[in-house]
Amino acid sequence: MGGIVFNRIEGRSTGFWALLIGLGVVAAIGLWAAYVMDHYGHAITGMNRQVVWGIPHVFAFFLILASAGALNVASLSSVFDQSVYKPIARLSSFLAIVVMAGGLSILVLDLGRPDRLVLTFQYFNFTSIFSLNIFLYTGFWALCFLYLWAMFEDSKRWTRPVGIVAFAWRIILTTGTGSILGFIYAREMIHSALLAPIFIVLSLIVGVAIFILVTLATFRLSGRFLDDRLVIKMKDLLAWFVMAGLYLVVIDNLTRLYYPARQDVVEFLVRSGDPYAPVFWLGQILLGAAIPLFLFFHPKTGQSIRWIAIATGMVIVGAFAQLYVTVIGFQALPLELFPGMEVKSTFYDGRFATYTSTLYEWALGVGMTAMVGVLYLLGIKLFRMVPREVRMEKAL
Amino acid sequence: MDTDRRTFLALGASCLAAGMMAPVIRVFASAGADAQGASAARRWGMVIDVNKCADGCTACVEACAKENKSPNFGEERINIQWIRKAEVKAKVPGAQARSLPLLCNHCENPPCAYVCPTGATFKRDDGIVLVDKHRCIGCRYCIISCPYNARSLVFKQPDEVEAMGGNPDVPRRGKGVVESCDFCVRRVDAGRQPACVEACAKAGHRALVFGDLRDPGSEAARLVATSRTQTIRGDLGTQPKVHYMGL
Amino acid sequence: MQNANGKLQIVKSKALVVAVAGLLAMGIAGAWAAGGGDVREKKQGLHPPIVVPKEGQCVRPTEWMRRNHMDLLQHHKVDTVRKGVRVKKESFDNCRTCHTKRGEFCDRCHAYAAVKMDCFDCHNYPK
Ligand code: HEC
Ligand code: HEC
Ligand code: HEC
Repeated sequence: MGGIVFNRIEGRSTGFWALLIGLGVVAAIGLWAAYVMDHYGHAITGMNRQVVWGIPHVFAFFLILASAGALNVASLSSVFDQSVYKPIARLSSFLAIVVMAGGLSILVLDLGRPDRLVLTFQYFNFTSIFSLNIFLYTGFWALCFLYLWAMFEDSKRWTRPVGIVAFAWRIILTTGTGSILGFIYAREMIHSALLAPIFIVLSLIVGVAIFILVTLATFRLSGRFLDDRLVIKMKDLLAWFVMAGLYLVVIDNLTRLYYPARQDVVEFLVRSGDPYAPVFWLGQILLGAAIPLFLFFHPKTGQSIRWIAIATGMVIVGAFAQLYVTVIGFQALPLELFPGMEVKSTFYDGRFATYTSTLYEWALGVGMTAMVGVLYLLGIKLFRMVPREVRMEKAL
Repeated sequence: MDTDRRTFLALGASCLAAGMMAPVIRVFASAGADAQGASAARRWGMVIDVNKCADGCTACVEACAKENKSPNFGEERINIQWIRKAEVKAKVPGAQARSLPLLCNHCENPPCAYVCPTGATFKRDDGIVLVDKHRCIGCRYCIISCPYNARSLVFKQPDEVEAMGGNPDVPRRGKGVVESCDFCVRRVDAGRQPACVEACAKAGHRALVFGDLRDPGSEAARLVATSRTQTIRGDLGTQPKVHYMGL
Repeated sequence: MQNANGKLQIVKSKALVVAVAGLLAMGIAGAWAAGGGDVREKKQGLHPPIVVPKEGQCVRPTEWMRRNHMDLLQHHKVDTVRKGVRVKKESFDNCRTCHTKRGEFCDRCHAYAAVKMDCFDCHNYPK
């Protein structure tokens, strides 16, 4: 696959500018929402004493996992020697960088005291998974930059070793992200070693899914040629990841179902809980796995780029739904202060909490996601990252 | 540039630096002259006799809110209670509900302090678990990790005029930081009892006993040693320092 | 060495300004001190006049306080909150016993020096 020609996208059309400005406006609205949240305090969000991580955290987890996953294609190319992916490896690494920027900015802007961020670099508490993750996230960023540089230099000496380290790092990073919740023994329903692998697979899913859509859009909108067979190959990969994810979710929930002491909790999460049960069944299972898997494997739709794009979009929605149920659903469960007893107080003891998100939270999440789009568009306009065309030489 | 001037400048700079350091050194030298601070020989704890705790009595809750100027935001969703009354009932027909107070358990292994990224939450040498409000960034991870639902975020800045009243020595709330019961640490350091304990005694119940669990002579330590006490969720291994009798 | 030289000059010129301003201030302060009850207005350096107690002394020498009160507070903050060392005399809450209104004292200087701080969000200090 020698002699790939990379160049900048032209970025002069009205469409490009309209997209850039549109995303910029949405990002500005997100920043404004963050300002309002900081000014009035978290009282204007829907969060409460019991559900203290809301929609912004769902977005943040989503983008951080997506960032780690976006690197997959680059890893496949340089770690697993799948040279068909080489032409789009630069894009993959760049996407990882900008998506991480979006996720981290949500995490920071949603702090109670964003102005005190420097304290996290001044004082470390090494027993805290959060502290650990600060290293993991910033380190991942640095590695992706190094990796991107090595690919730009076309340096055979560096690309592979950096690629291998980055791959190992992303696995540790997603383990760390899953462990933020998985290590919390106070919440038995989420306290599970399985959460790390679930997050790893989720990151593979969202990363590849977002990468497929972004690559398709980039090539189509800038009038470049992208070999359909490459998209189909990525779709097959995605289908395997989705199945692995489904498997883990099923086994995780069955484990809970076999625990009589907490059957009311399972009942809440998958039957009666509003909105967790519908989000679980319609979002996570139906949109996130069942329908896309059908579309991916159907001989007709599985070969159609349009249907692949639609199914990939569904997978992304499903992954978001899964994070919603995982991050917010478990906080809504009451803590068991007195196992087997009935507890009542004016303080959320012994009952399921409700959480109604507000527009500010969504604005922050969507806004920072739009900022990722702005950074991406500027990146491909300024740097030589997109190949002029991607043709696969041999049939697969 | 010749060497002489360089030497001169270096000399001057170091003199300047030394001069600037001197006051700093003085600050550090002066501390602890007339107070030793929290002592590791102590372990403050509380014993709560559930049988003495009266149904519907909220003396401790009110005293706490007054002492610590807990703002009333008028919304259950975001209100702060460092100590709260709960009713616990077995899940059998006709079971009698027991009324008891719940508060921060000041765990010996505090999960909140383990997860705090900046170390804002910490266990003082005498075992009291505190939030350093100056270092908290408001990430709320500690709230997620607390098995006792004892921590709250300050969701908004309380009304300034209203919050000015009350005890002038206790700082007000600042939005965006997390807080929880601190055993009225200012009172404890001054050799007094926490406000809730005082209020309970004043109401004639004496259900709350506060003291040094490492001092065999204290009433709290004696109760833990001689009666059947229990901690909440002791199975988690957090080793709470709030013990319950007659649970 | 260009840099160090430049810095030295700045230091020198700053000292000059401070010295001149100090002399000026002493004159003005004297004038202010003529009127008023148990407080007097005082002008020091370049900042607007501040109100200080007419008699008595600060917890540390005035000159030292002017430069280092933030270190004192910072240090006390750590000692008091994290170690439980409570030195009443130099505590934050004690400042207001003499400097009764922050609006006439702390805030004036800080507004001039463009110092922004959030301490008074939580710490009681009459305005
Ligand atoms: C016992 C009363 C008293 C207390 C307590 C006190 N001060 Fe002072 N402070 C004074 C007086 C009097 C002066 C003015 C002295 C002078 O003009 O020579 C002063 C001067 C100052 C100055 C310098 C003002 C200037 O002239 O530029 C600062 C800064 C200051 N105090 C800060 C503080 C802080 C911070 C605290 C709390 C830790 C505090 N003071 C507590 C009495 C007090
Ligand atoms: C003589 C003028 C003056 C007075 C009076 C004064 N300050 Fe300051 N203060 C300053 C200056 C100048 C700084 C900034 C120093 C720096 O940034 O190095 C400062 C900084 C501070 C800081 C550190 C702010 C930060 O960003 O970390 C605190 C805290 C502080 N002052 C508290 C007080 C309090 C409380 C009072 C009133 C009791 C007070 N100051 C009165 C001049 C003053
Ligand atoms: C979010 C609220 C909050 C903010 C903002 C805050 N503090 Fe505090 N501070 C507290 C609380 C609460 C205590 C009491 C802790 C205790 O007594 O154990 C305290 C205690 C202190 C103490 C020790 C007690 C005393 O009276 O000496 C000092 C000194 C102090 N703060 C300085 C500062 C300074 C300087 C700032 C601004 C840079 C500041 N604080 C900002 C909440 C706050």
